Amino acid sequence: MRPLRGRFKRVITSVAVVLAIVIAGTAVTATPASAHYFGLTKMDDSRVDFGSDEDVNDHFLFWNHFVHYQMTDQYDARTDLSGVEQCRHCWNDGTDIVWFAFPIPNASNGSRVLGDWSCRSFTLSGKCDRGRLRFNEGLTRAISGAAGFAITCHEIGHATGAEHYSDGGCMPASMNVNAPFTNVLSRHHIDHINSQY
Amino acid sequence: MRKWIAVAALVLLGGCAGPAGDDSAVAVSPYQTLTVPFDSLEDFVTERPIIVTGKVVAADDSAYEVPVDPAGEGNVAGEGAEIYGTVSFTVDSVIKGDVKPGSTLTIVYISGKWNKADKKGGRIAYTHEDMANVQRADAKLKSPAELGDTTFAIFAAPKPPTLPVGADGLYVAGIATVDGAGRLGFTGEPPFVAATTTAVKLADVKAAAG
Repeated sequence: MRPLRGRFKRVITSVAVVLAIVIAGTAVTATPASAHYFGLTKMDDSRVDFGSDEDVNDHFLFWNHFVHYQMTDQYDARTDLSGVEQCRHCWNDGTDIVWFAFPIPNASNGSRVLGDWSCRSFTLSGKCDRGRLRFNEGLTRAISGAAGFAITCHEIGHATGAEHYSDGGCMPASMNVNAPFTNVLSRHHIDHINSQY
Repeated sequence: MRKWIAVAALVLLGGCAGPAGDDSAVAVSPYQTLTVPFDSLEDFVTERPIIVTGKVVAADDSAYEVPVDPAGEGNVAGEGAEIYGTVSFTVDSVIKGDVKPGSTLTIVYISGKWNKADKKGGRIAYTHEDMANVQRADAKLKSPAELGDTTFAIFAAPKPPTLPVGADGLYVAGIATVDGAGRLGFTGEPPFVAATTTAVKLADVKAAAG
């Protein structure tokens, strides 16, 4: 009996070790579900390095105005984030937000896209290390200042970790470009950012 | 003893492996767009050349890989390839467009990218608000078995030339579930401004399509 019990014990122990390894691996990569999603892809710290990779001067001059002032007036001044602007084309793989204008095709449902954000590189801890922020270049010199400020406030919000929500701030999912929503952060959004960084 | 450990490890890890090498780290991230909604259902229906109902028969969240131009705006040397997924529907009924019932319509979407050119660097898996009907929170597509008899309304257009997947016969589409009462269920923001707060029905789409 004793040799059999010993062998059984070793098999159980080995299976438990393998299971523990698999479960630990799953825990590292799994995504927790949340009704109000915020912060999973947030930047790695409160210092927001941002820079443009826009090649065309006119696109750069138009959009840089909005990006610069929204980062300064909304995110730097009203939250715990600190925006650090890099000169054009000076960004590197660790820059938090790299922005440029692009002829973004329509969305899958055919609707016109004003801007988009996606994570292009992540850290081993699962946070977004470099986000790509694009503005539809067809809007350059074609929209009002109010719309430009609204779009940039919105897209930078995604880079901080915000999802779409309608609370009076700049994060609704869609926008009438001729009657843009507010171009400032809501208190709700500010509180989320300050709790994360 | 070692044989037991090897067998157990192979069975467990083999069960987790996916077609895109899921044994590497995966970071799930939303792919977010700010859009201009159509002014009405009629405008939306006019813009879509193909509108059908159907059921999911196949789903592959890593059907294609497209290398990224390292010299392109926003890219760096060593950038990982983009990954595109597909969802195939068997067509039950045709509301608009040159499609036959019983045929298969496959839509394509960007499903993620490799973190670095070296795939050991892990993969980013994108979630899409407007695809939550067919996509799980971990960004993997639901299988046809999971979706069962769920009927979808598919508002499709041929894949635009700007979409860098070379394969032919693919479409892009907005999708909505159709419940037993014929009501459409979009996830995320509906693609049009509704005239009323009442749920839009498939009958409304048929009427708008004329």
